[in-house]
Amino acid sequence: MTQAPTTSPFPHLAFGLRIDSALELPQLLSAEVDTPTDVTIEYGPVPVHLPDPLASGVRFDSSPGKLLLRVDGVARYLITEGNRIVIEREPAAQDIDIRVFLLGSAFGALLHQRQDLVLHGSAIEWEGEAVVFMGVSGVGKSTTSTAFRKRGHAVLTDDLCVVRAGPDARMLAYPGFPQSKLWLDSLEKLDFSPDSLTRIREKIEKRALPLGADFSANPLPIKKLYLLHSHNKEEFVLKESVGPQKFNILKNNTYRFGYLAGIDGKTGHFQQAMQLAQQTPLAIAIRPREGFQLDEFVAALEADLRP
Amino acid sequence: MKAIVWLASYPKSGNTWFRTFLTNFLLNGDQPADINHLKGCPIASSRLPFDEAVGYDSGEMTFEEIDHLRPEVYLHQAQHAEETPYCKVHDAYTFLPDGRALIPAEATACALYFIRNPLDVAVSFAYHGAHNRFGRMVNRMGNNENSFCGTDATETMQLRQKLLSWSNHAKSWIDAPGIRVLPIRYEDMKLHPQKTFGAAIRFAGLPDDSARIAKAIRFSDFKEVQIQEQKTGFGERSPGAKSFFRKGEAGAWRESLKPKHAAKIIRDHHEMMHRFGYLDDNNEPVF
Repeated sequence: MTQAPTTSPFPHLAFGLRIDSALELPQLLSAEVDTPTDVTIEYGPVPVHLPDPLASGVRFDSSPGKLLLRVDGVARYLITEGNRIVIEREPAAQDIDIRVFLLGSAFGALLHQRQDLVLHGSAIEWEGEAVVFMGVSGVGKSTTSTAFRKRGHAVLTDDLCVVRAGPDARMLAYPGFPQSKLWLDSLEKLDFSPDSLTRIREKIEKRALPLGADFSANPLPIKKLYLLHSHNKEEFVLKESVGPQKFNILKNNTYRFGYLAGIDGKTGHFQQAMQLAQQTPLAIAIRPREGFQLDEFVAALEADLRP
Repeated sequence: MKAIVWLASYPKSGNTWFRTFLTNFLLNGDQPADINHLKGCPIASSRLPFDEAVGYDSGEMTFEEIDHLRPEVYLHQAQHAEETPYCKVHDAYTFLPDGRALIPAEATACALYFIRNPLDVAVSFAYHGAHNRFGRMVNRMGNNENSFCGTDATETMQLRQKLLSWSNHAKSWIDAPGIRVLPIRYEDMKLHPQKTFGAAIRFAGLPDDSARIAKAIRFSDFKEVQIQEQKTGFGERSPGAKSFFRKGEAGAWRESLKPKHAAKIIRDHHEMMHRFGYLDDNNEPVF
């Protein structure tokens, strides 16, 4: 769907898409004015439930082409056909709250609807290719990618990694937007002062760290995938994953896999995950849970990435 | 819909031991079950199942916003369960500002509440925390504001859990309105295993098969789980602790707890200790 750029005051760019938004999204790059619109974000009425959803969670309903997200005290988001997000904000909501769930779960749903492979992961640039760090919330994806950033590697995306097949069928990781989100303890480990950084929400001690010139704005072929993990032992472990285990890891680290049941996008999703598993090495990288030992962890990953 | 059987306890009170027994009972195999694949996982406060059920990140929510949704998450889990979920929980049985219970009765089949002499809990808890600072643990057990994962400086793997004081934790579960609760003393699991585990099995509505219960007791014996931990490690051990299955005795506090710490525990918890037979009529510890 293409709309005239004049319909939206804020033309943005993220995940390779031109996004025209009624709510300014200062975290995102600006889009060139003459590019066609891929996604519109607008304010409007949003129902409380979807009729007859195929899948429902505590605060979402999912049907083919439609996903409804309800964030108490913030907003309801209706994401449709991979090209439109309608937001009905709650009276007391602040823009900053609306953006957090828009740029996370709502975008995740939108990208799923577009049949993209959406991994729960961060990605960095390594010699012209992308390296993806997947794993559950809190395992250290953003911390690891920021540690690589400090060692001179640009960051493609934080938390939500979109993968699409390129023209030669090689799977590409797409840039998200130039921001990482980090907790206070991670900022401290990485020698960033939280003082000048804004909170992601007023009452949450997680900070937005702008990537600035360290953002990699081009899609890159994926060199390697890592599943980050921690354990109660003292050693680092790097285990190369093979066969069906790789596919299962990609499935388990799909962003909001629960959305897919309603989107009816599982077939396409599995094909892409299979394709990625076939052409890309994947290792499980385990670090001691106690005292992150970030430098040693990153050194072990670097040694693994070097030829 | 399959309502949840809660395996509730203050930390270090026999919950994992019971889960080992229950796993062996349910599997009913010829070999002891693997301690790294126990029933009752993940714990109710796990972050990932919460995020999956809700549809957005708990890491971007306040503790209050998370707690507000937890009753619905448990109801959702029960509604979508195909087999009876057995769910470990360390949260106290608390109520939200709007009056709803954190653990809703509608999602609950029953609760087994494991309780252990607080003098032994203090010692075991201190070893589990790997710092052996008994005084600190004694203070935590007396503090009604005590919680797990209550920091906002990082994203912990688990959600914040209000534990309350040791006494109020026990009281919150045992006197929880609207749910069936069976209190189970750790000491009775040691002294009268067949009777105690059998009562738990019957309470949870599982087949009352004394041979199967006896076998599960044997397969979850302390020596057996210690050997398994030595061989393969145990994923639930805290990173700094030497082992998870350390001693498993009743009354071991007498070897390591200072008199002033024991006195504080008795002072803080005498009411609940009397109620569960941990103090005699002269206020002397029974175990």
